Amino acid sequence: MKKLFFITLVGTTLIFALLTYYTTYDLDYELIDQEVVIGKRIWQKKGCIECHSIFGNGGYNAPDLTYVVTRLGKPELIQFLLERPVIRTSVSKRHILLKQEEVAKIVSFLSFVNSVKVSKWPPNPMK
Amino acid sequence: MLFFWRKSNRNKKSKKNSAGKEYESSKVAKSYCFAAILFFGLQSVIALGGGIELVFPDLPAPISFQNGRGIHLNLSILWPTLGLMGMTYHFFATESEVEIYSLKLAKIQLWIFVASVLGILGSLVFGFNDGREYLEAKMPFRVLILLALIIFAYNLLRTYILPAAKKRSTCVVMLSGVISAIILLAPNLLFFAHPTVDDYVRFWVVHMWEELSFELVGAGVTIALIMAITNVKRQLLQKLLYLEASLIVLTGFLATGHHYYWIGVPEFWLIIGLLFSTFQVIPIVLVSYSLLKNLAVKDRKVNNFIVLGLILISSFWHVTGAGLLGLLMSIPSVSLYMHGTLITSSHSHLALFGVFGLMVIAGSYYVLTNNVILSKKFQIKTIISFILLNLGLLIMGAALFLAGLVQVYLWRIAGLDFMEVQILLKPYYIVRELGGVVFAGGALIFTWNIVSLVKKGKISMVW
Repeated sequence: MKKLFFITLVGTTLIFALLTYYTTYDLDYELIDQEVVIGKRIWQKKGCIECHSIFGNGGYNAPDLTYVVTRLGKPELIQFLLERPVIRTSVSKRHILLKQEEVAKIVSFLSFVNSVKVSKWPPNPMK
Repeated sequence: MLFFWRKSNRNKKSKKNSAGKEYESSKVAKSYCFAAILFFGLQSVIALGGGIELVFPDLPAPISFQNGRGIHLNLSILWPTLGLMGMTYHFFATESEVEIYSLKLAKIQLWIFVASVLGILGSLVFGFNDGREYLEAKMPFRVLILLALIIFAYNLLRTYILPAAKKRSTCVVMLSGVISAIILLAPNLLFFAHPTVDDYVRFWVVHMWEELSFELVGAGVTIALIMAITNVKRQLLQKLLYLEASLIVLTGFLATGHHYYWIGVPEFWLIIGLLFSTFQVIPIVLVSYSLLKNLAVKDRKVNNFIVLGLILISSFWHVTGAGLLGLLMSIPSVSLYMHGTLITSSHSHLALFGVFGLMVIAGSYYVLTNNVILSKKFQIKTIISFILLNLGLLIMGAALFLAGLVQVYLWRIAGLDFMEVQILLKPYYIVRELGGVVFAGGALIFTWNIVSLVKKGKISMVW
């Protein structure tokens, strides 16, 4: 039984390593420019993922932002982030404070996310 | 009930614990378990704060929601890990029948880990968030956690190869789990530019730490614990353990696919994820069934009903909250609608706390109190705290699940705006918070109970 365990351990690790290679070797890395990278770093620093989600992963108290660039369009999205309207479940709480350069970079990052080919998700009419 | 009290009175005359000799290593293990329980108590209070924000968003909050949730998520992984380390050190010693190779290293590891947890909490309070769910800790702290795990694996390995150490299956499985946790955390110290790759690697901690590494460690520890509190024979459990461990490895790795449905990776993950998610149920059911079968035997002796009871309750959450609900969510056509809703939140609370939280509470409770004479009052308070914890968990899980169903219907299917639906969910957040109050009540009673035992000097800890 001990042999079975070690064979499974080594074997499955190898299979998973192979699957990892096939998963990651052919993604559209060339579309990622400096703006997107910096935008992602800002996105991480501000902790957006705690309320929002990307690819459906993250917090569930604010809209999923995978396709927000398609849904709102860049100008309206930028306006939203700069104007900081009141969050609709509250009376006085506003959306997070962001500087203009930060907004531009985050929107670049979200545009890239928007371009990633996700199979059938989300189901209509979310898109 | 009478039989139960008689059993506990039996320990009065003998100083020996149920496992026999008390190892010096166990005293260090107790420090780990005690620290874990303290963090658990803290977690229950912080979680209440987060839940309140969703009920009364306009209340002034000392910590922003982003940072508070980061604290909540990190604590939810780190306190069980700390407790599991203590349980592993204790049972590795009792199973191998030697002292751990270096108690000094074990103490250093403890302080590195505790310092990291405090550092992570402190840095999040001041807004230093690395922005990846469950991995919000900034780089230096992730390095320290990795270091603590490396020390852990080294110490356990050195213990295993000691000539006097008995080579047990429980130890092999525990050690494998720890080593796998190191390999899975290491790449997560990096920054990933591509969000798909980021999520792909992130789930090596978020999924495989739970469903591979700590499932392995937990399996080894639980089997050792069962042998310590009952007279179930070792031969029976040994074979079962290797079979279970093999299934855990196979399914733990490949069922990760159920997190890879919609993150922008090739579609072969839909098939692999579904297939191995269904297989994941096998080890869970296998263990729960054989546990019950072995316990329901005529001359079965149990010397710690409280711990056994909690392990069985944890098995229940394992089968339902983790297994069945998880399996439902893993069916691609269902996931299409349920993914990214509060159903995930419901599942994570039921699975993570129901399985690992309760396992670590049961094990830490055993490690801390197995050679202490406990008063009836103490045991009653413990049982009450367990009832409150599980009741609170049930209320929270149910509220979040129902809220998730509302989200699925109104947001995903009917197409209402997300925030409009969020406004409608307020009653569910209120019920969830009430469940949280019940839960926190149980957590604090349990924590305070253990603290009072420590204050009376009844627990011999070494750090």
